Amino acid sequence: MNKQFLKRLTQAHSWLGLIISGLLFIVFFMGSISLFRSEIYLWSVLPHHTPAQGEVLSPSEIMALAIKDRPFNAKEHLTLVSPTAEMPFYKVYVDIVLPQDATMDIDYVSLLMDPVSGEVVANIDDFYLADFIYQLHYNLNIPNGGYIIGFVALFFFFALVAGIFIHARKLFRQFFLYRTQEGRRDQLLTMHNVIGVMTLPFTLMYAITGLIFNLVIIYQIAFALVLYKGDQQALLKDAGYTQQMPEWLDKPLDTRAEVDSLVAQHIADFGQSPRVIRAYNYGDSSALLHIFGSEAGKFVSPVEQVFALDGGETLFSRAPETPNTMTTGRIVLTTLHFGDYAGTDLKLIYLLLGMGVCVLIVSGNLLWVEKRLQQRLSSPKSIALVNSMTLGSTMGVIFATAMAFLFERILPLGVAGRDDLMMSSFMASLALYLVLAWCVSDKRKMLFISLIATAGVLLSTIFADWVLFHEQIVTALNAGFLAVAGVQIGLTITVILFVTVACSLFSQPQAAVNDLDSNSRTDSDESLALASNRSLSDEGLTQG
Amino acid sequence: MWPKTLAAIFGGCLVSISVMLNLNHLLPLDVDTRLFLGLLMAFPLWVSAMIWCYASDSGWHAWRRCGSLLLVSVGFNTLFFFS
Repeated sequence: MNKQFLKRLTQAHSWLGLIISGLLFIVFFMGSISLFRSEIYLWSVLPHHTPAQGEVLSPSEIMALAIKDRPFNAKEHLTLVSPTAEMPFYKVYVDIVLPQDATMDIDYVSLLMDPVSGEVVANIDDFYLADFIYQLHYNLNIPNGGYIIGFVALFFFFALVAGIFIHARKLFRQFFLYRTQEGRRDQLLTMHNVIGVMTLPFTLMYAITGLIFNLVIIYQIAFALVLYKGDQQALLKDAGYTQQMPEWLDKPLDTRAEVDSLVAQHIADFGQSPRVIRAYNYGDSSALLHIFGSEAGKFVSPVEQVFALDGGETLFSRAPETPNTMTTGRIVLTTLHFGDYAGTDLKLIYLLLGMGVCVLIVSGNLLWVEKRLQQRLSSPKSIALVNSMTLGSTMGVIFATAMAFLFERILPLGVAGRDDLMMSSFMASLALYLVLAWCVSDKRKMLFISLIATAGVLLSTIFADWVLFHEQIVTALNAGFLAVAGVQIGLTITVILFVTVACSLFSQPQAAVNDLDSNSRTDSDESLALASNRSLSDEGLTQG
Repeated sequence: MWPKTLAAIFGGCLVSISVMLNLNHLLPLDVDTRLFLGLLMAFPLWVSAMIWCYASDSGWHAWRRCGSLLLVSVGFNTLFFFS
């Protein structure tokens, strides 16, 4: 390959990689944790309410309980997300009529309901930690954050492809090569390459699916304008999206029996409960029931049906035997992205790969610093900035996440703005950490303290679990709900890992440890590093 | 690097959109399959254009590369649009 071509790609790879590293770390760290968001959600909920044991209420009974004593807006939707083994509660979204003097524009309530007792356990957002982490993953919890993450995914995809070009000749030859006796920069480069190569199929899949989820709007607009002459509805119809807008007839009709009958028919036809049931104009003779589900035992086999509740006429049906490639393909991509098609063991592999990418990001930044130190290309200030940014955007995010876990556990249910308080704990911890990362010059010491502090926060969370909710946790365990114990095991493993890493920081000689502090490096250190790294430095440039 | 980045983002995006529109006209497949293929191929195309832009001598060179490709592709777009 052309030497100049590789040199330019290497420059772009490191430059773009450095710019997106902070956000990319958030995406992968939060995404990896979000693989277990059902478990985290249950860890939040179960100590407050263990699901009742017994016969499950029918969907129509849940609907009736959900709208009872609420200003239900029947001209809009009533949506039920069915309970599953992972999430043993109904999630119900009730559209409401906003009062005239309403200060908020949120025109629905989201309820967590016990499928056996029908009790409203809480508002879904009262336990916001799992969703908060998930939203940080895909939109940073800020307006238009999805587009920002989309462009991060685009640059990540570019960095991956550029990395393949840079490393192409050694991709297979050095697949299992891990140099431990080389200089610091070569070790970092080896770590970066090995993780990059081993996670490549996974990272390529994530880059492409992430782009499709967040930036598809660009192509949607272009296709609608050019191919469909501005008719967006026609494009959405071809892409497999169905939109129901029944006309309100103002003729009351009790359709509860019809709802249960249609759901029972769906279970009989496809072997499992529908995932989502949505009623339109519920209570009116114009009411429709929109059912989303899938056929049991299949990897991807989407089912979507729309029925008129007055008489049960089928208005739309897309069953596995009449697939829409776009719908099926979209679900395949979603399934691959979320890794929820083969149980907990696959999710653990996804978690390890995701955390591997986090290490890939950090090693990339450290490589950038090492190279600049050796080549004396950058000012000490810019190197210090990158060091502070790297520490703040990685360890800071980890520490802030631990604080969010602690607040989620210790904040009593019913406290006004519980979700806001939990989010504030995250933001305040992260902001404080970023300031400290900028001010503290001894980054190694700060890293050590951060690891120990994070381990302490996580230990406090586990401790709070048992002090505050030991009876409820035992009850949940006895009822067969393992999520709380599972999350506690995960937190404990993290504590052990962090303490081990913190201890190893002090067991290594000073020169070999990543001190992240450009000012502490002497000229002789740099000369030594330069000499020892000559063989492998600028690896990308030596190919061609 | 910034001029190349601008060319990579905007030029690459336009090139990928234009090429995908042409492919959508040319591929002898059902409409839902064409749309899904477009979805899958669009971003790799964009990134390919980005690689080409970053491998250029300068931002101006990157824009010239994207522009020439875009000119040809938009020509076909126009042809298909009015046919």
